[in-house]
Amino acid sequence: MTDRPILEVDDVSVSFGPVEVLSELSLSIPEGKVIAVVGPNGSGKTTLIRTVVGDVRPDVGVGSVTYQGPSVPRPIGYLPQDATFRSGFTAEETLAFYGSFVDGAEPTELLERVGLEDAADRRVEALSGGMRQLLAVAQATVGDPPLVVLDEPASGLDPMMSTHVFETVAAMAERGATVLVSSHEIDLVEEYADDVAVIASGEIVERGSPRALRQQADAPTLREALMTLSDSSRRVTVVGET
Amino acid sequence: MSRAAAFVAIARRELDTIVRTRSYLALTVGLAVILSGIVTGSDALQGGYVPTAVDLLLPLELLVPTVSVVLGYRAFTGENDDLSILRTYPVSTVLLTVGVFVGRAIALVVILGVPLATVAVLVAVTPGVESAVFVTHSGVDSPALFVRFATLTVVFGVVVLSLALAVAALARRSRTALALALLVFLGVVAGGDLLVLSRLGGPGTTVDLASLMAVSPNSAYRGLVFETVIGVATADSGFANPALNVVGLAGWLAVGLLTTGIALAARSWNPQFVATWKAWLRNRLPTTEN
Amino acid sequence: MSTSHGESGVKSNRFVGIGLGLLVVLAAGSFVVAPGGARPPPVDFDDTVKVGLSLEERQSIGERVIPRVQVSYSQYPYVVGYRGLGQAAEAVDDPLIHQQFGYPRVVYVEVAPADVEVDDAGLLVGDRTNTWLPAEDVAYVVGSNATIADTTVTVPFEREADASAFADEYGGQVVEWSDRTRFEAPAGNGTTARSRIDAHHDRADTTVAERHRLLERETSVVVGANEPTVEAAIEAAPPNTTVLLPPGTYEGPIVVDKSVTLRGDNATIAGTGNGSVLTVRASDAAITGLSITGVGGEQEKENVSVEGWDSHTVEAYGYADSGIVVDDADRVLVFRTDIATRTAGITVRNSEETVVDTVSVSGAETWEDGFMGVTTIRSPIVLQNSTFVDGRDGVYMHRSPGITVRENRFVGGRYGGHFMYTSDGLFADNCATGQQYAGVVVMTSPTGTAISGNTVIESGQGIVPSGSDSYVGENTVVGTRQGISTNARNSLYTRNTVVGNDVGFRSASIIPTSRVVGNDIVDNHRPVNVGTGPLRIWSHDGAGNYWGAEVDTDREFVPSDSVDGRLHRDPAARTLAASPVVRGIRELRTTAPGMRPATVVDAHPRSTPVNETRLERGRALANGTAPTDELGCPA
Repeated sequence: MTDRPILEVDDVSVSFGPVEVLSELSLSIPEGKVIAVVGPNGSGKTTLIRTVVGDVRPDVGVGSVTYQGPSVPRPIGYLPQDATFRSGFTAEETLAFYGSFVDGAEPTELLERVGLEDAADRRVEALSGGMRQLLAVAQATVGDPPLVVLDEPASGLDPMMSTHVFETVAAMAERGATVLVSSHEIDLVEEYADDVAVIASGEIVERGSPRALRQQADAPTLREALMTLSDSSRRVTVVGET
Repeated sequence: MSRAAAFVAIARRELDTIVRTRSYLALTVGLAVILSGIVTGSDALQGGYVPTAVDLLLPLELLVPTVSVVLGYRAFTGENDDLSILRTYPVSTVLLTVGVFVGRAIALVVILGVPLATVAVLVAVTPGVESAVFVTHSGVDSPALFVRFATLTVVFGVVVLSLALAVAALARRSRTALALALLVFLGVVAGGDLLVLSRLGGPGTTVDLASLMAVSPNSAYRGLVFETVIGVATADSGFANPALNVVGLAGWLAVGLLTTGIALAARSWNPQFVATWKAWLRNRLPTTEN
Repeated sequence: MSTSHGESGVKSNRFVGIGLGLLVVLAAGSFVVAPGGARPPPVDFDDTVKVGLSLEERQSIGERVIPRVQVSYSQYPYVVGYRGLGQAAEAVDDPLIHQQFGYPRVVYVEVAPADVEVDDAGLLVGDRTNTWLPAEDVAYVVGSNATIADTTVTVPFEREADASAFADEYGGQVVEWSDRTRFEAPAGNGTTARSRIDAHHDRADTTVAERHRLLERETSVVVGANEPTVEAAIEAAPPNTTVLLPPGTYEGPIVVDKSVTLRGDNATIAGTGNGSVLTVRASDAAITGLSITGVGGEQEKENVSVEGWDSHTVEAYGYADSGIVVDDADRVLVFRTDIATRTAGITVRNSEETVVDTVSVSGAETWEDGFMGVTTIRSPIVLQNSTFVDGRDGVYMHRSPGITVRENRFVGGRYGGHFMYTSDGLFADNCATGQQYAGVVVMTSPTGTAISGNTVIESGQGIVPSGSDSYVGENTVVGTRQGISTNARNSLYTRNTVVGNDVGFRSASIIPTSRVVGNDIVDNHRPVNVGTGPLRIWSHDGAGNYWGAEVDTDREFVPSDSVDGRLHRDPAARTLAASPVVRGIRELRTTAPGMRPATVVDAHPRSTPVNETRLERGRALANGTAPTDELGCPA
């Protein structure tokens, strides 16, 4: 476990038509850590995630996204926002399908890691929202990718489930994976993330461990720290047209 | 895991998706009922395999594109869209395209094959023209000709399926997919022939009609049926140029698969691409202010 | 550790793969095999659908050798048997046959015995070999002395040496199947029958004119004045004179055994109620101006025995008690005579060139009790201008080839005209109404029958022909259950007006080789009733029939179709008929007629009637507004 970044986002701009969503953004993701990306709605969180994953290409000629981790068949695992699964397949079948493309842990073990082992034979449409999210998290870990990217993994979950998700995330990091996660759950971020990057209006405006940010803002909690630090940009900016 | 295993996994998932969707079972049964109904209402069953094929030709020209389009036009949209996830796996666009195509094609073989087999059984169990007075024979009529007919029908369906997949790959939303699917359907069922008609000129002009018709997918299908099924029984030929028809159908298959592959690969550029073009158009078109 | 799901998944993958592989092999194989399989072997000729030679001709030829051919067509479910190589060769190359039956898959020819001979009548003599060989493997002799029914017979041999030997002795040349255009075939498509009509009428006119000269004879004896009885008068009269019967009633039975004319002036000859009343045994005799009553009631006589293959028929029908019997006497005239009978009116046996003119026969009220108005046994008479009411059949014709029946009225009874074993007959310009079975029927498959210009009203059926090379034309058929049947083969049905019947045309021939064109078929409840058999095409050279004003003439008309068959009486059918699906399916079907039973297609339906005047008259007859005489025939 070194401190070399597993993935480097360097001076990347992403525009959708006339609208610039990411503006010369740089972010280096150190290996083996849990990095959380936080920011208000419309700040470009999801676009950043998608750029890291490769779903979206940066504007040509501007910046680069470089993966520098181990050379494996599946370097990056991804859980998109609002992930859906095909109905008619069981949880185990779904993971088995994705597992066809890589070597690695069996579906049963993947389910155990997220705590879904009892739901293995249940069809995905019969899973509750929370269980589906867990399944989605399990999918992101298929093939044991060195970098796991989760876009709001706790969205729509009750506090207990959310906690469970972040526990799983921490366990992933303990096994050696790097996790990039975006979330609104600041309390959970505070507890489980090693590193926090704050994004606003398409730029990284703050970066540091939760403790460092608390100290910087002289606030007792990360939540208050962030509110203090984003004083200048309290208004919710929506990237795009009005 | 090997590419072969990945391909099988993708194809298998498509097949399972179809199999586990109740409405496709209903489609198969419904198709069997319709086809059986068509031939039972007429005298074709008694006539044998070739008259039955003749009776089914026109309805199938409409039904097969319908089934193929229905089977394909949502292959990559809505719930079936996990492309952003798949992209993180070592699955090439080619593998994905061909895998989805093969999986759905197999499903199509079953959805078309079961009703056609049902009709074949009906023909087999229907006594032909019988007479207590005269000896009867079946003429040039054999199950082999009906198997040819069924094969050509499935091939036609598979070609249209590839076009439907292209629609699914191009469209990001179900509404768009539906509109495009309708376009493809009309093009296959009517457009090709209209194009041929427009090129015909007056009755006095000479046109290589057989070659022209190979361009239209349903005419190519129809021409092959005439040439290899109906024509054999009546020893007529010249209905169509079978080699060209095969080339025409193969061409459309290639168009369908290539478009699918390119559209899938381009999806990651898509939103920017579309948005850029939308903005460009908006700048060009006159606004109310100007 | 692999899960059970994974294992079953792999197994089912394999299953799918194998299934797919099998299907691919099956599909590919279907394009490789030659469909239709091996050539079908020859079958028993009795089991084929036979064409060629009338029943009478076959009977008279008896067991002598008739070269036979059998053909299996690709789109016709029956094996077609041809009696005669010329006809088979013609059919095999006929594009109309190809259109309807497909192509001939195999042609088998029954070879003649190697020692076959030709007798004085030109008929082949020998034993039937029942050896069937493919046509290409047979040697043929054309242009020899062998004939059947005035057509040179092509004689097939298994070995060329035998063919040469035959040609040496009986003339002709040895050729192959590829030279089959040299096989002579009897002309047979109904046009021959039609073209003979005028000549037929001319000959009949001549015969009638000649017979009428018998009425110009000088009166030599007057009964009552010169001689007491009719018999005495006949005895006394010199031949070639007239015996006059003044008004009154005279006792029968009377035999005319001298060539005299028996002329009555309001005279009645009354029989005893047993046996026939007036018998003519002398040629060149004439009967005119008499009324006959008191005819006996026996239809069949016990003491009569004749020879020949038709002995049963002749005994059953030829010797009934009759008003007048003409027996073995030629050139007889029966003119202006009324006969009231409960059996036969006039029976003519073995008589040449006899004329029955302006005669009236009134028979039994129920046809089961009655018998024939005129019975001809081997007597091709001219029967004209006569009236037949009730009884059984108006005129029953047995083995009377070339008979002429014209301008008569047939009312009631079973059949109006009844042809039996009679070829080349002419039934023209008659009126038949009220028959229980049919206006005119042809049985036993003769050839060359011409049924022309008749009117049939409200009989059970209109015209029921059979045989081949017949012509049914210019007739009006109204108000029957079934207007015209197309049983005759190689025949022509044209310019008929068929109006207001339950069924217009019935297509019954199992082998559709006739032409049905240029007819006006209107206002029938069902235009066509189709029997078993392949698709029939009722149009020729771009001309079809007229089916009424509601028919769309831009497309083919399928009268046997449930939609087209309704057009004339259900306007909603027109909407359905225009449906692209209906039109598409129908157009498609006619491209491959094939083994599709029970369909008639008119590829070029007419937009105007063929004969407007006759159609109007037909319609008027159908709804009772046409002027008719006291018997119901058009005035």
